[in-house]
Amino acid sequence: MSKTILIVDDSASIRQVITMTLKGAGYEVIEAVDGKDGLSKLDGKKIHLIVSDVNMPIMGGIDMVKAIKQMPAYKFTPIIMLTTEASDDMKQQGKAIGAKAWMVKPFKPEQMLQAVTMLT
Amino acid sequence: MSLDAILQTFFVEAQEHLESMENMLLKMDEGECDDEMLNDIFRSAHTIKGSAGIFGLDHIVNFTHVVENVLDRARDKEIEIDTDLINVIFKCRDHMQSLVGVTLDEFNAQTDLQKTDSDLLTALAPWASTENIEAVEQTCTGTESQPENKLTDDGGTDKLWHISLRLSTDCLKNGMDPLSFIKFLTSLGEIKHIETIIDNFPSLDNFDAESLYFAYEIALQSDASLEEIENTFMFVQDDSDITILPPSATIEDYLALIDKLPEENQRLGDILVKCGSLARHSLEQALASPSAEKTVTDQPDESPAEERKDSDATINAALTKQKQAKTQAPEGKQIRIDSSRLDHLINLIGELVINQQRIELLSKDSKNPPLIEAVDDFDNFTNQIRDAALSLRMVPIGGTFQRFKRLVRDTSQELGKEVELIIDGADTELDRLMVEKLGDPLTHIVRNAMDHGLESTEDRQAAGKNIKGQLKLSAYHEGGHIVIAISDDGNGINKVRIREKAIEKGIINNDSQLSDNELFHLIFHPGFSTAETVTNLSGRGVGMDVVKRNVEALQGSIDISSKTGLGSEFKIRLPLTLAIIDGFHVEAKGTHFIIPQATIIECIDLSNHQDIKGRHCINLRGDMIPYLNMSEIFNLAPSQKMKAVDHMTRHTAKRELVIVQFGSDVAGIAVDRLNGEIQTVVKPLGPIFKALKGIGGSSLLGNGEIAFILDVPQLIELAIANEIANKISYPESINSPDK
Repeated sequence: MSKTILIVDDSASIRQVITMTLKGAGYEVIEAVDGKDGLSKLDGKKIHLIVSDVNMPIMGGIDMVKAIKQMPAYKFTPIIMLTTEASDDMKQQGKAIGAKAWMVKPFKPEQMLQAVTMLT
Repeated sequence: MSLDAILQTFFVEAQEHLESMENMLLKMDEGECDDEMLNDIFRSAHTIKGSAGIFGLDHIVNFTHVVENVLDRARDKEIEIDTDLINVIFKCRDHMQSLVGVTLDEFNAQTDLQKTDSDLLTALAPWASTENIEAVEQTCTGTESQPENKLTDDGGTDKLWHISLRLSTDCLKNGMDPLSFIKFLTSLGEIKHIETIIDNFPSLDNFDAESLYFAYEIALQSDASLEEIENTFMFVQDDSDITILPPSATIEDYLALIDKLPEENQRLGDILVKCGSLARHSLEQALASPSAEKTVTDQPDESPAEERKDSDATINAALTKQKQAKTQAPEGKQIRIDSSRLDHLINLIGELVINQQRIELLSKDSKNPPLIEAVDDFDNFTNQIRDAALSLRMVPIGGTFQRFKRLVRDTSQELGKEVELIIDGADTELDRLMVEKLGDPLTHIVRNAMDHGLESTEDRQAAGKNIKGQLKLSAYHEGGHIVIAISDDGNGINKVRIREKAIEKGIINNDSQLSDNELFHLIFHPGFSTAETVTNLSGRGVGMDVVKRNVEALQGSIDISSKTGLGSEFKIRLPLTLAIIDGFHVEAKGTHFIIPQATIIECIDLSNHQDIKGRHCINLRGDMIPYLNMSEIFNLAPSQKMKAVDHMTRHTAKRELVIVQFGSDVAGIAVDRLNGEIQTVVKPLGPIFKALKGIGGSSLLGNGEIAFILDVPQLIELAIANEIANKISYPESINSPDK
């Protein structure tokens, strides 16, 4: 059975690129446009990995991860946070709540695939 | 979905973010500024950069990175936001817009863009932190490596790396499976040996199933670079103790590693030898030396207790934030449609309307009451579908108005005038096609109003007016039309100056008697400009005539009113939609024409009026009205069918005159028969008919025949021109395609 990845990013182009890359590698992909959408897309499904942007409208990545870390079913789901090098303090903040994997934007699609392969 | 299609998404997205940046900047410029706004601007820049990076659009990434960095510092209150900074960021935003429009190759070829790039970066420098500027250069050049490429070089190698993994006990809790990293290493090379160290495994009482107690010593044979191997562990490296020794590592490096690790030295040495990373004899020699003393380091142990303590608070905060978001952004369920699909739908509905009219005709002929009733219902729904479809293409004009905030801001700075822009009726909707075509004419009028209409600050002060000039953009419905008004509280149009200028330019005669309205309309004359000094803002007298033409191309009209000392107002009157118009169906020599209803004043019987002095001109209640004969204009020969009808009705044939008005001009259109009002779908003419004057489009009638939609402004112009030239015969040029 193929593994399912949840992509949370407010940028449609980033979502589409990641989706295209991961689907090409045989992953199932679920897209969400912000943290709130991301939480609702979990919906009890088996998710193998979450890739999330940090800075999003409505609900940011940090708040979403905080909420996810409280859910028994997703407590151990690996999360890759997407960030820019400009936001180091954001990274600290994220670490404190349990998001351990960070990828620096801009990244190449292959780098994303590599990271996903590593974590799933 | 292909990468190209995604690139299109990126362009649309970038455009939206740039627009939102502009709106936020405008608000900030007005003195409004809160964290949320700063965050929004930052996010826009951030998203553009992030997406551009994925597509390898490095020119966008490099520039936007610095902008983002400055915005980030502003967000963190490291730098203060002042007018200078806002001005620079405005320019940066514009530059980003240009950057998004070009490919990397195009950017490298365009020196002016590169110059703007470096100029703006220099301008940003006082606000940017230097370390981050350097950082971007590194990220942009350093992210290219792909391990796959290197692996294909050759399989056999004796490059033996040693990797010592002491992962954090929380590794599993973070969703990181050590096995996945080890598996990934196999994609970089061959794992020659792996030793699992279970020394930390606790007694069963202390065992926590969610913790990781294993450590690994790995010998990896690989051609990969240190960076690639390090990257494997990038997600765990921060809270784990990972040592990667390259093939070139010396015995000292190994000793340092052995020293660092908590396990007993001799045992570690054995493990390293087992792995093949270290030769036994060199180990023994080294361990015998007195420098190798065991130092015990504590395994870093993060306690999750603290996290749990504030977990309730966290969840509550997340929930309240969620609730806030709900109230802030009522979910406008929107979908994006390609506008060409929408146009296609509307076109199809046009066909449906025609077919419906045809069925209606047939049903009336059938005199079958149930059928007529059914067709009536059908008619009702068709109209509803048509209205619904047309409303899909309606967009609020607010977006267009919004763009003028920026224009007004920049222009007022350039002119040194203080101007306040008031927007009214931003919700008023109009056809998307019109909105697109309105941008240019509006821009011109707004610029003119600011340049010529509004006085300088000193003049306003002298006149006792508020120093801040007022410019108002408003939109509203008026009798089946949409009116867009641009008004200012400036000095009004100088009638004397216009008159002088028009005489000087030979547009009117010295003794011409003109009403105020006629005088104002002179500014639409090609080549007319009253500005004493030509500024680069309001152009060189090209423009207002183009404005008029653009508006007329939209079936609209433009009116001017002005009061000396109080200001002027430009009113653009537009039909609700371009796709379907209310028309008046007439016939000349068996050819069908449709005259747009909005232009018609009245219909009269031409045979009751005498031509004045044999010219195509009649006296209507004291006004002289020139008219055009459709059959002459379009060289119509009567069809066979019509000949027969003509013959029978020769003596009773009436000639009808439809009086039309556009702007302040009135003219007549002479036809043979009036067929009444009709709602008609406008079909544009093909490109080969572009040169044809007087016809704006075509339409299918319910009975399947084609009707031509008359372009009234063009016809009126023609009628008046003919009258002025005092020609009795019509020029050939009107229906020959030479332009």
